[in-house]
Amino acid sequence: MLLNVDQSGVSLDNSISGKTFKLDISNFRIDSGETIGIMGKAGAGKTTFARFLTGLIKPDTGIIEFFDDRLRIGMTFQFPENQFYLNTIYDDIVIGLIEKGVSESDASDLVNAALERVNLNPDEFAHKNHHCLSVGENRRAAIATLLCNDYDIFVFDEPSAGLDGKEIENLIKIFHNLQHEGKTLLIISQNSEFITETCERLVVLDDGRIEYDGLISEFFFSEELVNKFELEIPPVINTQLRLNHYFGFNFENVIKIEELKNILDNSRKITISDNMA
Amino acid sequence: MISVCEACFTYGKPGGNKQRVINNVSFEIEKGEFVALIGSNGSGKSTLAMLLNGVCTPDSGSISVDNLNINKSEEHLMAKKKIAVLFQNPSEHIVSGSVESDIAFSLENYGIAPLEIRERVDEALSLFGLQEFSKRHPRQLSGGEQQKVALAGIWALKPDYIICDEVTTYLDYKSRNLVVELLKTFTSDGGGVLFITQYPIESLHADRLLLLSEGNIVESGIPFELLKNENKMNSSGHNIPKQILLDELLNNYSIGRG
Repeated sequence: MLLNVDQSGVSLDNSISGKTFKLDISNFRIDSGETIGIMGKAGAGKTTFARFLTGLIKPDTGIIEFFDDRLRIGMTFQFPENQFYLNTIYDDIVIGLIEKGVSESDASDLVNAALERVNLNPDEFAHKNHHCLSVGENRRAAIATLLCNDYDIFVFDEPSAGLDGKEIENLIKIFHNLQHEGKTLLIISQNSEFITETCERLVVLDDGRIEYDGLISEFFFSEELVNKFELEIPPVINTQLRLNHYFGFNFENVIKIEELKNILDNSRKITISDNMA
Repeated sequence: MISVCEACFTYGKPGGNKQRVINNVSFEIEKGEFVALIGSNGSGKSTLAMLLNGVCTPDSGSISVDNLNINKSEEHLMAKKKIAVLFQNPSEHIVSGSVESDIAFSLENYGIAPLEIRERVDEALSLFGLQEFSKRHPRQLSGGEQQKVALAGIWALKPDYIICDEVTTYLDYKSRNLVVELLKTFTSDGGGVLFITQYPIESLHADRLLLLSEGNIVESGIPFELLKNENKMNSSGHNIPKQILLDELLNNYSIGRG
């Protein structure tokens, strides 16, 4: 276990202009190597929750228990391209390392390696200004900033927002590579298709509270839960619900399109061979 | 009608590095028409939105709104009053200290009477479900809520045409549907919409879909026909939306069972 909030919970009262927003989190833990998707309506408290976990906002009451004093959490924010302000992408990424006391040559190696991990050729991109990069390239450069620092938990706030289909594919590959390296990821997103491609565990926030914490498939196969929290059913699960309804299938846990295709292909073969017999 | 005729636009200073991002683009948007546009990151979508708003001036070609050239100084203001552009990052729209004053800002600049401003602001607050936030500072709201404030500000202007540059990006599912439904109502009431999106499936709501690639409109057609064409989708930096692939799978399956 990396992090735990017990049943007594942590809370934050944030009264603004007469409107109170309260974040009240209890019974939440993060285990090493997990990828957790965080969803919820606009204003549900997703970003505040992430800032809570990263220590950017301190709770009014309660304690977030870290199981290693050296546990380090890195986060990319919404509109990560706004975090770049220096002349080149290289300068923007290296500055954090230099400030931490990393030598210039080590820092240079780390930046180049991180850019390669996000599929940005350092020779081509390192010395460009961020204004010359597309939204997707900027997003990957922001992730490279995190990768330079060997964080234990990576938090991504709306990483796929504004990206085209090809860039989303790039991002999914980067996240899958991080998963294979055993990294722990928290991904905030409004895109249920992206969340099902990258996560197994889903946390749904509503009005500052965790209202669901469990398997993605269990959530999206429950019409009651999906309607209650007004989330979009991912296409692959939507299709299975229609198959269950119209063809009498009993799908309840397939979340990858390839897996669904295989099952249907095999099912067709059986049906066709039955007919031939 | 919005008419873009052979427009070109290049970033860069004279004598410095130059990059042509809009290359001989021509298209029209009729009143009552809902036109969607998709393209890869860096294909020129946001630049096109800025050209339509008159923020950028084309190197060559012309952009007119109901026969008013947006780049002619004597016609610019009248043309701009007809067209409202909403950009992808809502924080770029925030100028005031409260949600209601933010929505009222452009109306005040257009010299609309205070009583009418109050009416339009209240209507927009109600339409976008923002009443409870009316006194709050927009920057204290979530990204999705800020986007709704920006949309409400555009709505209150009552333009003839709305250009939306990836406005659904940070919205939740329910709000995305709300925006699309409101825009459909806007077009059925006679307005024209250009809806730039990174969710290709959203273009199914449109009358027509434009594919932008490297600053060129490479296709214009019926959304469903373009969305199911792999080569054409790839040219715009996208894949066939999963829902369409899965619908095909279901069709094949039902044939197989037969």
